[in-house]
Amino acid sequence: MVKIDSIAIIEDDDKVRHYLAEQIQLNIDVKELRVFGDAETALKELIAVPVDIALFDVNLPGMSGIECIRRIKMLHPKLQCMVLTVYDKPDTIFEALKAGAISYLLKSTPAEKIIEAIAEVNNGGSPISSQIARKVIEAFTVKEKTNEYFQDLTRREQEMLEQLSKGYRYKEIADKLYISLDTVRTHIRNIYEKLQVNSRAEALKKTGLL
Amino acid sequence: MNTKLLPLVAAIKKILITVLASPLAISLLAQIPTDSLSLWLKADKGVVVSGTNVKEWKDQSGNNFHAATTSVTPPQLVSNELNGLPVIRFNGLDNAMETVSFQTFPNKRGTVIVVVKVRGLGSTSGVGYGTFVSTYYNKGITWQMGSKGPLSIYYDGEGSSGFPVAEMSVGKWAVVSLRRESDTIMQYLRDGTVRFPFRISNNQPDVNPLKIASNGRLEVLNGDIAEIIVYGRVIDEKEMNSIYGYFNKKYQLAFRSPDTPTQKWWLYALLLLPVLGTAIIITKYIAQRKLKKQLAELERLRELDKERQRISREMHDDIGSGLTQIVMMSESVKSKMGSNGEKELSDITDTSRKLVNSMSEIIWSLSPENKTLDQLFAYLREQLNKQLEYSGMNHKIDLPENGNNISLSNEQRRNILLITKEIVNNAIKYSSANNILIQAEIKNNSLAFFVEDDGKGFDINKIYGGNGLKNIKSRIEELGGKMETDSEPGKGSRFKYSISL
Repeated sequence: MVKIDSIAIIEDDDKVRHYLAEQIQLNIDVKELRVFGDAETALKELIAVPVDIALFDVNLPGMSGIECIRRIKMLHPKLQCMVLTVYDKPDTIFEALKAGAISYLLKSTPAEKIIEAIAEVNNGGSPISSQIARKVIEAFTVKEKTNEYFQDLTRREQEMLEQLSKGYRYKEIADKLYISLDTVRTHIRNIYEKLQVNSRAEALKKTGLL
Repeated sequence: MNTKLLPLVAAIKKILITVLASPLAISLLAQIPTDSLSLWLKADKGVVVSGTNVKEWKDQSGNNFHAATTSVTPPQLVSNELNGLPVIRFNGLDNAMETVSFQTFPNKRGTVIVVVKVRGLGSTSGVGYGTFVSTYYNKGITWQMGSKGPLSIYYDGEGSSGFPVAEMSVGKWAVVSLRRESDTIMQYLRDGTVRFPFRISNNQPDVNPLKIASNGRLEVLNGDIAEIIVYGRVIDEKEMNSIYGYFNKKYQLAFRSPDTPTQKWWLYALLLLPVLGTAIIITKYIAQRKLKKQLAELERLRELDKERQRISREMHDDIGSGLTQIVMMSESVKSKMGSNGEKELSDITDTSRKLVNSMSEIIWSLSPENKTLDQLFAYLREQLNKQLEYSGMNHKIDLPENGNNISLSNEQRRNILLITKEIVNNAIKYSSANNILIQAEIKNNSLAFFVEDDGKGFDINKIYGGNGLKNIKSRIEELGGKMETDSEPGKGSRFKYSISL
């Protein structure tokens, strides 16, 4: 069984929350499972005592899940965040990635896939669909670099995104580029981190305040 | 003194005493807090020069942590630069100063305050980074605060790289400070407000010199520094206020107000208005009718599109959440009822999940960003891989890769997607094949697909698997395309379908 120290679920719908909590407890060797019904409470408690992996519903009353992720990542950059959505809509997921999420999960996902997704995050993986890859490419091709602290992608990372945007799987890309699966995962993680840093610098430039 | 004036003098004395005793006066007259003051450098006192070349900057805190110029090219003392007071100017290229050794952030706490004006990017190493202050230990820089043009940057020497913490107004005087109030949390303040709390390494800087305007490498400040104050403890809001009060009085700058747009904008706008006005009237007159017509048409289309998107989005959201709820409820009933009715419940959850998937596909095909052939191929690769992953069949997906920016209509996208998925689905369900190939080709303005499997085949004269094949054929015909089916029992199946682009 996958072993994870601590997991948190932030979801306002009781049924979804219980379902996820149940599935996680049955299939993951987790020491501590914390559940929250709203972002404000979760933010306070998780800033005080963080967890390894946190699952956030995107639609929460009050502060949104994505905003919550943004704030937590500032003080706990190692906390891995996943978003829960109804569909895998690229726009929503992309916003979540920019805020600091590393993965997403459909709420209606069958049990085995939920565990798989959480285990993948725990292993350093981060799923990315071709549509999201395209959005990421766009984000790094800004026409006017208004931000002097903009981090560009390396050639390798650009290559990787190209292949991903064409719908090739990690294994296929690893074979095509003569690298290991682990390297592919690491590249994707690095790309996400750069995306987040750029987004944060962009936001700071625009408002100057938090 | 004239007796008539006595009561007046008394009254004035009384007022003066009240004013002097008030907190306002205290903040105006008081200097800065002195408890745990490590270093205090001010450009209007203790600067030792030779002409305008700065040689030493003497510490006014009483600790004698004097700073000296360490570079060959000395920074310059510029007089009458800030409210009649001098400042020390660093050239962004090869100036540097350094105090004698002392410990910043003793017990991992402290506050560093700098009154600085960034004049532009530094010209060293193409990095454009300018240091305000920094300190180091044997292995390198422990911490560094500075700017890169319009961004303030903090660098944490133990492992992590520099990251932006706030914006910085180039060409304007600012009071910037770092306040380390816990082992791992640093706060960055500018002009009186906390701009950004951020995480830093849990390090304890050694007893080392504080470098000024440089970090010992090339990152020299292109700007002026008027004052540097370093405390070995956390300065709270109240005391920060009194320090700002001292700065405001001394330099006559309102360090508390956020950036306000300069009045120049208003002026330029006012000057340009009459010129613009005339130009607009002329253009409008000439192109008026034509523009109106075009705009009206575009607006109509835009509104239609917006409305369409809104409806589809709401519908999909409602349906999606509803289906998700069904899945939740079925799963929870399943656990309560045990094996009784388990099959039916599984069917319910399976169907619901498939519907959510269909919704995702609809959302994909309606999205205006997914118009081109390239994007269809990318989406197909993913979808087919998902379908075939656990099918038990070896599969090869061979779709053209070269940039195909050919646009497809909504029907074309949707139907090609559905047809291909349906054919593959049939193969998975009924063919018991070991291998399947899905191939596409673009030739002579037409898009052709070819799907072949080595399964048990079927009799094409009979209708197979319900109305599946019939549906597929009518979809292709809807697109004005052609379809050929070739199969015999025991000899696998081959499907060819094409549409013109």
